[in-house]
Amino acid sequence: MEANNQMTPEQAQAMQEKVKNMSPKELKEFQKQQCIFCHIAEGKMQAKKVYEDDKVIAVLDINPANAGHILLLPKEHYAIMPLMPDDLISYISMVAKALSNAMLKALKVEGTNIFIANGMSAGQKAQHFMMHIIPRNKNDNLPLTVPKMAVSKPDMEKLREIVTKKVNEIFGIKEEKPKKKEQEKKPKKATKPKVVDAEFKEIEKKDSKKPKKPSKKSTAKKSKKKEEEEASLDDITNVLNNL
Amino acid sequence: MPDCQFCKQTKNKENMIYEDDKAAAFLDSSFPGKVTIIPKEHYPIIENVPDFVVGHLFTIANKLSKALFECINSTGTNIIIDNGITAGQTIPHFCINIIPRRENDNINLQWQPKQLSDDEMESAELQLKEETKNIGQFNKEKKEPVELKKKTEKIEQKDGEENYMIKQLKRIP
Repeated sequence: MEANNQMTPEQAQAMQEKVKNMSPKELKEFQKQQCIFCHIAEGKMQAKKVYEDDKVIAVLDINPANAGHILLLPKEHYAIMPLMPDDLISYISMVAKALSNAMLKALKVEGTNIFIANGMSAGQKAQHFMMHIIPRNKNDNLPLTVPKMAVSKPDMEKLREIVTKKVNEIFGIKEEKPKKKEQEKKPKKATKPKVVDAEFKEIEKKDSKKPKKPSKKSTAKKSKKKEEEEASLDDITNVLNNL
Repeated sequence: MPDCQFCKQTKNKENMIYEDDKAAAFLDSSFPGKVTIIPKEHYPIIENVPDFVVGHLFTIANKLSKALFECINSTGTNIIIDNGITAGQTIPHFCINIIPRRENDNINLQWQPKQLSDDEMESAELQLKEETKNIGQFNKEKKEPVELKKKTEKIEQKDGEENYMIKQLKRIP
């Protein structure tokens, strides 16, 4: 937000307070007004358009990594990728593929990089989500390779456990563990005599009622704690908003 | 492809964190928290991958990137595709890499901007425009026709007694 720099400190403070009191909708609208890429998408600002349709627009980067560096962005304002709806992500990625294909043919390069930065720490500069499609030449030495930092096997196991749990939560996949418990329970029940079984069931019902309630509470508490400890998406968007 | 590292990994499920009918995702031991998403079928570069699979892979990439935000305290993610050996691709099986990022993690993925003349920019624009004219139609997933299982009714017939259903057919109106 360059406009902020030209204001007096008092004005800037007033502005910050104004931003704080805005609702998410107003904030989005405010960001839109400030966003260069929204202006480009609306045609208010000139850019070298390479492709355009009703949802996305592709322009040449003014500060290219290589000649022909394309920025592909949704016309609607989204600060980071996690805020975008699935169908738009799916659509924009298909356009990215087509653009990469076009780039190979048009510029006669041997490779392309598709690069996305989510969040300031990942090197995102503008507050508008975009995909970089970069043509590559031999020996152009662009720093796009990830440094290697080997992870030990036990650490990998831990990581896998944590990440898989979260992934299952996000995708709504039930974990395999409870299934095993059910399998263990079933043979036990089968061994019990029929008459006693009914009594056991009653006892089990009573037993199962009691521990369930506190467990729910405890998990709720845990998740609250986790939210406090871990950076949420809101925090990240907030950081971007405060740029 | 029997020799392909990723094809092998989809089978032995080493470090796998997600799987569905089209895609699989693994943790990469070369960098803490790095995730690799691949199509299960073997395609060397993105140009070979069908459009709807690309779309599917990216929606998964987005959700996995969310997962990395939430569970390992990263404050950002980079999603990088290396397409072709000159772009740094090492395994000839298309993949999307997600790298979790933190403030001051000493990873430099920032390129130095090149200063190009207006002519150079314009020629790049014209060359690209020529090829992007045809973009617009994307192939969708062809859903296989659902095979309806034919229900065969078993007609039980008792000895000496003709089934009423067959009797009805034989009746002359």
